[in-house]
Amino acid sequence: MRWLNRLWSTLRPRRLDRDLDDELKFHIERRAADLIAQGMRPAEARREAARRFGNVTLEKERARDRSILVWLETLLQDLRYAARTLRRNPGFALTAILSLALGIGANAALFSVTDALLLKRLPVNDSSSLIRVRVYYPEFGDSTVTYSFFDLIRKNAHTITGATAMALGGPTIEEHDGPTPAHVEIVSGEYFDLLGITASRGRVFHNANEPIAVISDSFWRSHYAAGEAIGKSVKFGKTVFTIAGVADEHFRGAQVDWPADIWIPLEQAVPSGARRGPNWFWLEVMARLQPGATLPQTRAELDSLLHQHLEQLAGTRQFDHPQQRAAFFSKRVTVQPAATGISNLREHYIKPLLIVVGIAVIVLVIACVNLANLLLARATAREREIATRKAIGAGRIRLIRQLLTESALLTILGAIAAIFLARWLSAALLAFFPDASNALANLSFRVDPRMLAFMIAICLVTSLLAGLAPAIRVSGPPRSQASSGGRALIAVEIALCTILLIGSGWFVRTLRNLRTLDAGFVRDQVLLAFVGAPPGAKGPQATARFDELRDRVATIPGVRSASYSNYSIMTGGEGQTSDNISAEGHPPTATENLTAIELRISPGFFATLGTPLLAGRDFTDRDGASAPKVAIVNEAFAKHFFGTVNAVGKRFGEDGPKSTLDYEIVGVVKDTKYANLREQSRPIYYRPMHQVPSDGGMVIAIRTSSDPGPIASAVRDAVHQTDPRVTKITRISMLIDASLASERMVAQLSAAFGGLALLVACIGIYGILAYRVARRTREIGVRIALGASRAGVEWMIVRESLALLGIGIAAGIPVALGLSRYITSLLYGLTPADPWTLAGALLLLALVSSFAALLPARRASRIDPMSALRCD
Amino acid sequence: MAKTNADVLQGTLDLLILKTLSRGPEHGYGIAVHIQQVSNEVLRVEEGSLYPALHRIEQEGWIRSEWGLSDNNRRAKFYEITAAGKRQLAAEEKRWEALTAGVASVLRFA
Repeated sequence: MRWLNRLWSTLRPRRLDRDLDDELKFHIERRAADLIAQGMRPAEARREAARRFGNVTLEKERARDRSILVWLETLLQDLRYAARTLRRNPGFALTAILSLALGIGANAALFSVTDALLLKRLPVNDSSSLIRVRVYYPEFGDSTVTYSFFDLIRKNAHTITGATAMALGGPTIEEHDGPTPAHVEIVSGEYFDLLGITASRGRVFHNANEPIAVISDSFWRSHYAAGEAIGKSVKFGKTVFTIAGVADEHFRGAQVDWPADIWIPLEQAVPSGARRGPNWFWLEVMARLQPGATLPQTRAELDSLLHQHLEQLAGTRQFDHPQQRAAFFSKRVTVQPAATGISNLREHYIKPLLIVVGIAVIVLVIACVNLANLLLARATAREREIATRKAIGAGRIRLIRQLLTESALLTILGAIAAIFLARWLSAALLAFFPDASNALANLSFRVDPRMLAFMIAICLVTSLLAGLAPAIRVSGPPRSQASSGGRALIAVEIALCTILLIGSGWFVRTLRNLRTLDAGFVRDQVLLAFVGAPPGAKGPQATARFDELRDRVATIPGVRSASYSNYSIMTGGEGQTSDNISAEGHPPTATENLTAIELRISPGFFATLGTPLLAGRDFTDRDGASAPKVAIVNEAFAKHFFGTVNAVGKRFGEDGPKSTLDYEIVGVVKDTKYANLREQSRPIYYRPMHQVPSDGGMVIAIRTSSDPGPIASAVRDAVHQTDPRVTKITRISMLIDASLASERMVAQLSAAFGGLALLVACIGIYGILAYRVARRTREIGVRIALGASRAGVEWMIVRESLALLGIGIAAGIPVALGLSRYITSLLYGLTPADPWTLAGALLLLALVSSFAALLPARRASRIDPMSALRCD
Repeated sequence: MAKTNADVLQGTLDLLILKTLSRGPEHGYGIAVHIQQVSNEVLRVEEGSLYPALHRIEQEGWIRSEWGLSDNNRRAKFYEITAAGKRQLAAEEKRWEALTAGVASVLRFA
């Protein structure tokens, strides 16, 4: 508190001045009054009083100098002293600053991402009343909505003051001289008014009546160099939009993952027929709660609107059995607060991100504990000096402050280094998420007021944490058992390391389990080329073009086989499903899930992907349009509907019990993962491409016999010789890597941080033992002189570290297991109590820390008894 | 201002201030007058050192101040001893007694 007062008087010198003035004036008047009472004449008395006081202004200044300058001067003194001590021990300073820089830098980098995803509110009016509206589908979770449903909400809901819809436009916009990269956001006419965004120049749109566009301030600056932009035209799709205005400076749209450059009205950008498609779930909807309305009220109202909407849709549909009807009406509205904007990245990655935040916090705490330990060891070494200073009158407060100044100086130096490190760490972090690349404008590291506030807070906490233990230690009476505090800190460090290493063990093993599990297909040497539909070719013609393409690709040297399918595996689950499978001899039960994935493939698909055929045969070219309809199913399908793997010859249909059993099963293949590696195998049935010709794009799978890299460009050339466009060529292994982005991030970062923490802790162990050996030189010398063996002396020192190790581990394991319940959903193929993970972490910890202990132990055993006894 | 031998010994001013305030809150002028009177006019507190000392002691946390009304109803700043100040006073008294006892024995036997 006193410290604050002092700061206060530094900042508010004028108030202090006035106080002093009043006080001194009072003194002089009282003195004068007393002198008058003694018989002096008033004027003379006042002069005498003032004379006795000397120069009032001078006094005032002296008094004030005491309060501010003395404080500043002591601070400078302390700083100089701290700097001098650090310069004298550059190794110590460097270790401390580096470990702090890593700890603080990691936290700053994570803060910048977490802040953007989780904390930062949209720069709009009253963001807290904004909600995000979605529809929950039991099959695939929360989803964006159709235009008709949005239209129903905005016209009929009373618990909201308004709603707006938005969709992502392309990554480019056409200008007169060609395409320009720009994030387009397609928004309904209410958008700007609902959010309360105005134009900094020109105007925004308030409805969707005319084809005008609004650009963001940053796009205006970067693309139009802050010059003339209003009135220029840009083309999106087939419509030309005229730029009418520039939006408020900090506004980049309501979707965090898609920092918008340009907004265009939805009803202008998408023609009426297209936008009303009943199966087109493409709109994010944001609404503003009516004052006084609660989330549950709004949800209930929107739910009843959704029911109305479904009733309308159901009017034209046939339901074969009540379950199907119930499933159709089981959709529900979900609403959630949207003050921080809409972000799917947040939903996907927040859990792994928070885990990494937790890890980074632990690393910082370890760095603090380590610094505390080093400062403590130094303070203990300076015991004699400190005792002397105390004896000649240095206040304890002053000594404590001096130690805190030292830790604060180190922290600030660490924080400066951390800013540079954080920029790099943040880029590395974002590189883990392939889908974050669009959001970089919002997510990448930036030193803004929020970041500075965070850094200052972290510096305060760090320097207090690191400086407090030594300070308390010094302020107490001198103790003979000097480093008991230091040993406790080492045990704390080891406990924290235990938690980190066990944690990273879990994540590394999870990643390994996912990477090595049998997914039912080979991961290497398979290229996937995503090829667009051939223009102008429909149905069988299109299929014929893809056959041609496949044959051409198959002749490329190095290609073992090629085939194609209408959807790709490992892209997160896009594809077609049938939710009403009927199978020969399998009457459905009331609650049964009759869903299966349908995939259309060309012959050779299984051979190309390396999926073993368990029974029957693969498709051939003879399974054509006029041949009997056949299908291949996977194990999961066969077991679910026929109770056996060998379902060859059995029949099934895809349109419920009333349908004919159209397909005869000719083969059964091994289960493969479809959407991602974590899923349980789902029933899949495959149909030959020639029996269900499709017009859309295809995915050509190519098995190569050597490194697929050089073959990719040959494939691209081959595709370009026919008409279709290649949108992407990739490898299965890369798709898998992308699907494992968060697992990789957590595993790699936790391993890296775990290793770092281990290193820092080892430095701590080494430091404290080396210091104790130095202090016990004489005692050890006596022991050796009296016949103690070198091995015995080594053991004596190592034993001490083993005790600390034991305490630290014993404290760390239960905490780690206690924390594990927050992360079990992220683990795969192991439980938190996995003995291999625990044993591995502990073994590593024991090995490395014993090594750190061995060096001082060696030194102890080499002590020459004669010189040891002479020393001191 | 010329220093006189009656100047309070350096370092004992704190002790005198704390002792004075242990009787109860007092303003700066009152402290000066009290010390002068109690010491039979032997110790004269120089105004020039009183106020800086008060501020310094206040920042040490041994006394705290508050604006109040003096006996003749003028606004004045009153100082009051804190718990830390009482401890400090006890320590200083002990030190002072040890010192004077030491000096006394030297004077007796030298």
